[in-house]
Amino acid sequence: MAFWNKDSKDGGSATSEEVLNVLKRVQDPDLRKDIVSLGFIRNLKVDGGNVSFDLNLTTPACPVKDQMRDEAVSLVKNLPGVNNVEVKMTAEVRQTPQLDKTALAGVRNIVAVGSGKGGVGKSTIAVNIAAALASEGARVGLLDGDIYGPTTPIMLGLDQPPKTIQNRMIPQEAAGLKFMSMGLLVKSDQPLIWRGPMAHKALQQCLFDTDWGELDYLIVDLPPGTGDVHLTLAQAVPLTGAVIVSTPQDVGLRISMKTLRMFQQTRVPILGIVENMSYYVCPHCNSKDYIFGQGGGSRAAEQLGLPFLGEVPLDLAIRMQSDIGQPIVVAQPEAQSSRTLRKIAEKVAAQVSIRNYEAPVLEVE
Amino acid sequence: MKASTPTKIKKVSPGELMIIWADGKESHYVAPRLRGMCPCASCQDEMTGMRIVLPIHIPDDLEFRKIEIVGQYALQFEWSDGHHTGIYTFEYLRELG
Repeated sequence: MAFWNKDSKDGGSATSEEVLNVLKRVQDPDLRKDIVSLGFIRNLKVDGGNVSFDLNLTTPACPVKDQMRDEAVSLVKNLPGVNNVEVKMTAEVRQTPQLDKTALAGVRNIVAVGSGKGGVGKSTIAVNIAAALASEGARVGLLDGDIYGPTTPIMLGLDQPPKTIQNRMIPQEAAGLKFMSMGLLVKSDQPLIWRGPMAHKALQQCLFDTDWGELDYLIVDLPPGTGDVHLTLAQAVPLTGAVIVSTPQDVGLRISMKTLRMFQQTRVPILGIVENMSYYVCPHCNSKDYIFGQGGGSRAAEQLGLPFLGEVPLDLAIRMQSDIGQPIVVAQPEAQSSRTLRKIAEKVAAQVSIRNYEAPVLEVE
Repeated sequence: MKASTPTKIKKVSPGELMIIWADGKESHYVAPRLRGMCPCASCQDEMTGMRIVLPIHIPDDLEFRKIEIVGQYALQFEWSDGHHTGIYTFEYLRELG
């Protein structure tokens, strides 16, 4: 009877159990668990010597997806009786607990990008993180919450106010992102002189009255420092976390500390620190100059026990792309700075996955 | 996890709230007393900390009408007397418990 049984060892082909057993040896380095227990293996099919399955990760921007796929393929290929292994990479971004109970139920994660002071390139980093995540296949929205000096519309080449349909604002699209700016709600050459309650109201409208649809990540570019917009955001939604942008001159992150503490007081997890303007890349000879000193951001992150997400250079190309409204990660994906920014975006995505995996589910019974 | 992180928040009766904390401690709150500790600016002077709303202003049979989690750091209550602007951080609740 055994000779026609595909699952039999005598027939020479592997069983599903054997395949799952070897796949258990592949660990997700971020979630620190094997990919079988994490439920990443879907649609496993064993047909003679052909094995196929989906590897369903927690983000399409997973920094170690190639490594996990290669490991899985080689382990399964080494099983006796297996000739061919086919893996389809898929991803399903998990939602931050409690976010499903808000008016933003279609949004999986909200990540705030903040800084201790202005002029550190926070918006540049926010736009490029968002565009990089979108370029890797995630559904991404960007909310420019910097009401006092909105620059993201320039970086995306958008200057018209959003259209409204039945009291819902329709986000504009650029660089693969759905985009909404609090700054576009007022005329661009008019100063914005708002009292706290107005900033509060405007942010709430941009968050809740915008048709974001289904999003994996909503990135919120905050005004510098701490203030009404930050507090409103921390109160209005359960934030997945915050990314802090700093420069090497912010010695030991002293300036960013207040922003960090504010997030900690409102229990917003810090996903990590990005150091911008880390070094200058000479456009002629490509040499690196650490004009503001080297390694300050990573040392501070280590002392604070926070993930260090990376160093972004002072690169003429980043600035030029921002000024013409096409983020560098989209316009020049192969540029060195684009690779750096993409790596940072992937680390943010990985931190989001870790937070959602560990986050306690809290509700009022 | 911080000790002042709730693991369970339960309204055990219309006038009583229970919180179990990450370190296992269990706190019980009675509505009129918790209302009397409201940290909002109309119940407590922001500069001096003097209480504006005093126990005599609060009915003994006050109840929780609504309990909401604020972001991930606090609770906001709507009381049966209509007041609803107080945001009680987990740290503050832990202190009171």
